[in-house]
Amino acid sequence: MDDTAAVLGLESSCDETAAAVLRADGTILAEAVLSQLEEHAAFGGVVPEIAARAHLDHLPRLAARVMAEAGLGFADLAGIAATSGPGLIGGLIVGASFGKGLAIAHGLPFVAVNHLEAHALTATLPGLVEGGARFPYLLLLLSGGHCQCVAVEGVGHFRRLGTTLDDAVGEAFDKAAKLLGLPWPGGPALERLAATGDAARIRLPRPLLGRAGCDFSFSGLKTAVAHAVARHPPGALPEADRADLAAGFQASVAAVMADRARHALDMLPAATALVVAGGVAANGAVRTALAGAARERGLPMVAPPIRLCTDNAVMVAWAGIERLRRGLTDPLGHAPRPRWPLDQLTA
Amino acid sequence: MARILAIDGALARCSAALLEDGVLRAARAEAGDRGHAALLPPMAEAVLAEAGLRATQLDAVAVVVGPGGFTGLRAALALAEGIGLAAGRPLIGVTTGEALAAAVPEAVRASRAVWAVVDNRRGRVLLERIPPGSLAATALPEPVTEAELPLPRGPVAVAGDAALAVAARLAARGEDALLTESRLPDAAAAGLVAALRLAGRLPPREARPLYVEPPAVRPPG
Repeated sequence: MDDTAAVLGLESSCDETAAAVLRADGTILAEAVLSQLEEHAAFGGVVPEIAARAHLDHLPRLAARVMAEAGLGFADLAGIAATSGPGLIGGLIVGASFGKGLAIAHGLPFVAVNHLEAHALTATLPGLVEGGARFPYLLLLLSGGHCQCVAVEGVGHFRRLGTTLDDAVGEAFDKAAKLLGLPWPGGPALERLAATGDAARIRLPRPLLGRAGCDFSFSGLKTAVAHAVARHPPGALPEADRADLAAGFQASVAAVMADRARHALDMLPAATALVVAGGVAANGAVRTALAGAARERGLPMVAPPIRLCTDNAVMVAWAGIERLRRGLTDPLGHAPRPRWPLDQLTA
Repeated sequence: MARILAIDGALARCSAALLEDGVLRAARAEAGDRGHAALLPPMAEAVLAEAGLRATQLDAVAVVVGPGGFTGLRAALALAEGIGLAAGRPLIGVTTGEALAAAVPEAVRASRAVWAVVDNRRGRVLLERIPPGSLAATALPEPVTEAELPLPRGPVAVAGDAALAVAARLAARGEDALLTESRLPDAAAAGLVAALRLAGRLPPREARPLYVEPPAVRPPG
């Protein structure tokens, strides 16, 4: 595939509708993300049916927009890449079916992109890291739906080193935030509140800290926050306590993250970098803690810019390009997969 | 020559068809057990290939917009949107009832209204009433329980996946209700309706999903 070939990426696995056009050399020609936050806010979380309807409403328009911005016609593309799992099946079906339709119209190759692989390969996007991250590297995927340590050994070659035993870390942030009376999505709100709090005043548990392996667990931490809140009558939690709890929660998560990252790096001694992805990678305390863990080993921490950490279509197009380069395409009969672990990828 | 690619995923079968001037050139249909999303795209590609046409040679892409299963509707609509957008061709919406009615023999439709009834899996049927001799639904589908079915204003032909129960219910009330064999919509029939729309012989209809029912969710508290 020559460097000027362009691929359209489509993302619709959760509550962001996104489209992007990338050149094979990594140049982003156009990108757009439409968040459905407002549609779901009243329900305190993502409602799958509302998400699926919104994806169908928005995706065709978004795709047309990025193509116009890129100055390309669909016939000019080298392929279509659409997130086909894991995620909410209703949205995956919209994105994959729409993408296949675009591909059918001009006989273009179709790539069914694994959303986790797309996050994992973002670090190899030229321009993000000098020369791009080199395989193998350690990926910490930290979002509302995923929480895992992954050895990224090549396109389609992943080993999951550890995962959460209960909640994903972003889910834990959302639940703690809800207990503290913060609006959904809780992560950013909790971080703002934590900034005014004293993390040392209310000591919260640090689940699995020091334990072998690099699994995660957050339910105990969440329960500790719930108990601290329950010591006060409903709605009577003093403002200072709220802030201190938020700060304590965030500090516990950050400490656990750094500890798990150290263990994961022990399991992948050849790692060239520690890469973080997912919405929680936007959290400053978590970033600082992970950067520390990487520095101890003399490794760079690669954290893509926030817009490429959260769900986006640039990463989908890039994963599509990496796969097309290797001749990896998918049949039009590929079925979207709500569950699609990284170690079940083909390459 | 009007060339139409039609796609349906509304109920328990999915299908694609290619029509040229109202004549069926190629068709594929399958029970949707394995999932409409995986079945429909290869079907659309296959009917185009069999007819020897590229999507850019189409005059329109027709799609069944509902009522029906939300997921199957979206699989068909998103696929149609993709083909239509990339080929620069317009989309034409056809309701499930219109597609079902088009598969009822003309001699039957001439003297009977078609009542297309779709089981909404929430204890109701979605009723589309299509007047005798017509192929266009004149109103939005109405959600009704079988016990609350309205009174037909004349003889009816009942179609759709809830037809068996509805026809029996109407017959028990002494109504002239003919149970038809048109139980699941078909892309070929949808294509016929779309051809009439394209020719201006039926009122236009956007390719927007007809969910009828809101998402089954309530805000907390």
